Amino acid sequence: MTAKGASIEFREVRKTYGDFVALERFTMSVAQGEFMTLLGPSGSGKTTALNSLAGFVDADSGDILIDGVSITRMPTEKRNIGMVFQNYSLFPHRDVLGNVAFPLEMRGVAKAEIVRRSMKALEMVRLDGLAKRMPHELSGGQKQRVAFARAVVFEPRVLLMDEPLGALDLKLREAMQLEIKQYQREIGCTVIYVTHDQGEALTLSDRLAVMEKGAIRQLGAPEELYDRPNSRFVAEFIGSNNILAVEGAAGDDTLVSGLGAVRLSGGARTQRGFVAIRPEHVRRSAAAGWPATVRQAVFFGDSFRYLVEAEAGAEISFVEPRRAGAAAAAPGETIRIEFDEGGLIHLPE
Amino acid sequence: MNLTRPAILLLLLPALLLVGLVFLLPIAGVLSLSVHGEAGFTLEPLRELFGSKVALLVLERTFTLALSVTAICLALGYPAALFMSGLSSRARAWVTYLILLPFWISILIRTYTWIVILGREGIVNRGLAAVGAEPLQILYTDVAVRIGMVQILLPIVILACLASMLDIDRDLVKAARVLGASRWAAFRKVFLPLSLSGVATGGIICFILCLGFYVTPALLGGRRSTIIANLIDIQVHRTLNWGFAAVLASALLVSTLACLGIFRLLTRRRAGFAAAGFGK
Repeated sequence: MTAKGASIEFREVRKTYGDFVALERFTMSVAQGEFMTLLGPSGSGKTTALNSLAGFVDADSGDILIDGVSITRMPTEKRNIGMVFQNYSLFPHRDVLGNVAFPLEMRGVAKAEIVRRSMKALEMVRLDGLAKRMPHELSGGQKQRVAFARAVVFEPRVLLMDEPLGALDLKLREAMQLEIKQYQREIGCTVIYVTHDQGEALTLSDRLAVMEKGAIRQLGAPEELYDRPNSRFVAEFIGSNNILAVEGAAGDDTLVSGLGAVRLSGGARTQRGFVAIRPEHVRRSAAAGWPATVRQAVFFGDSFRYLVEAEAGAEISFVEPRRAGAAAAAPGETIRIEFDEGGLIHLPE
Repeated sequence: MNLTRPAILLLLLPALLLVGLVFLLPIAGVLSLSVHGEAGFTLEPLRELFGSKVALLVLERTFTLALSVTAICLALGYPAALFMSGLSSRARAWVTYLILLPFWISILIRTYTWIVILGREGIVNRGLAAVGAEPLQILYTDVAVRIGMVQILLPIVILACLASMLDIDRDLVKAARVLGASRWAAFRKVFLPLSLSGVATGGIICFILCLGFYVTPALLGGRRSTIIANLIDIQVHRTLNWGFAAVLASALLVSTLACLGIFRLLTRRRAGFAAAGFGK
C-alpha cells in the first residue's frame, strides 16, 4: 500500500442543532500524513467535525477541503474516505472477507483483484486465517482489526476513526493503540482520530486538538499540550493537575490561594488566572519547602500517591516513586513539600 | 428473577390447560374425525378428497389467493415500513396509531364497507360514471376479495417489517456510504438483506392468516372465489358431511405445515448463502 495522505482543511465550519451549537467557527489544518486527534468531552463537537468531513452532516456554513478541493457538495461515497466506527459497524450478514471486500466491490474492482487486495489487507492485520468467519464469531479486538482492514483496503488518503477503541478493555486498548500507530505509518494516510481518552490521544497523535463547546481550545503536539496547557480546561482534561487560583502578585512572586508566594515557571508575572502543578513536579523535602499534613497515602505498586493539605489550606496531590529504604509518610503526619523548577504553570483562564 | 422448575410449570399450567382443552383436543378430534366413520376407521373421506375436483381446485385457489395477497401486502407494506423507520420516534408513534386505527372496527363492518365502495352503484362506479367511463364489475370477484384482505392484513405486515428495520444499526448504512456505496447500493447491499427477517416474519404470518380467511371471501367474492374455509363451512352447515369437513381441515393444516417447513428450509439456505458471503 503506497497511498500517501491528503491534506485536510476545515474553514470556519459551523453546525447547529436547534439551539445547540455543535461546531462554532471550527478551523483546523491537517498536514499530509499527519495523525491528528480531536480530544474532548461528549458534546464538544469532535464527532460532528468528523461527520461533516465524512458527509453525514451538512455544515450550516464554512468549507471543508481535501487537498485544497472543497468537498462540502460532494456525496459521501465520492469522498474516498476510510472510516472506523466506534462499534465496528461490520456488516453482520457478510463474512470477514465480504466485509473487507465491500469498498472494492463498490468501486467496481475486478473480482480476482478484490480477493487479492482484501486478503492483503487482512494479512496486514494478521486475520487472513479468519477470512470466512462471520462477524459475530470474532472477539472485540478481531472485529476492530477487520474494521480497520475494511477502512484502508481501498487505499484512502484520509482515514477517520471515531472512538475506535472505546468498546475494548484496557489491556487490549493499549495493544491496539500501538497497532494502529504502526499501520498508519505503513499506509501513510492522513488520520483524524476522535476520542475522549486523553491517554490515547497523547500516545497516538502527531498533534491533537482539545475541544470544548464546538471550538478548539488548544491545538499542538502532545508534549506541548501536556507541558503548557493554555487554560484550566485543557490542564484538567489532559493528565492530572493541581489547580490553584492566583490571588495577586508580590514583586517577582505570585500569590496563590491556599499556598502563598511562589515563583512561576518562566518567570511569569500575573495578577489573575490559575496555577497548575503536575503531581510529578511535587517532591517531599527534608528541611525546606511548605509544611503540609498528609491526608491520604495510596499505594500504587511502583509509587505512592499522596494527598496533602498545605498550612494555608490548599489540597495538593503528588506522586512519589518508591525507593529502597525510604519510608512512606502516614496519614496525619506533617511533611514538607517543594516544587520542581518550572513546574508551576500559569493558566490565563 | 430465578424460578424453580416446579414454579415455572405451575405458572404455565393455566395456559397449557387452556391450549390443551380448547385447541389441541379439538384438533385431535378433527384429525380423528377425518379417518373415523360410523363403522370405525375409514379412509373414505380421504378418498373423497382426492376424488373431488372441487376440493382440490378450492385448495389450490386458497393457496394462490394467500400467495398473491401476501405478495401485495409485502409490496405495499415494505415501502411504508421503510418510510416509517426514517421518522422521528414521535412521528412514528403517531403513524403507528393511524395504521392500527382500522383494528378498532370489526372486520365484518370493514368488509361491508367495501361493498358500499366497490358495488354496482358504489363510490368507484359512480365516479367512473361521472367521467363517462363504463362501470367496472369489481364486487363479487377475486379482485374485491384481494382488496378486502390486503386492507385487513397490511398493518400486520407493515409492523413486522418495521420491527426488523428498527433493529438495524444505522451506522451500518453510514459505513456502507462512506466506504463507497451510493444510497441505492447501501440499501440493496446492507439494509435490504438485514431487513429480510421482518419480511419473512410478516410474510409468513400474513400467508397463514390468509389460508384461514372466511368472512371477506364469503362477502366480497363471487361463486368462483370460494376458498377452503368457505367450503368447510358448507360441509358443516349445509351438507352436514362432517367427515369431509374434517378431512378438508386436516388437508389445510398439513399443507400449511408443509409450507412452513419449505419456508424454514429456504431461509436456512439463505442464511447459508450469507455465511458464505462474497466469493460464492
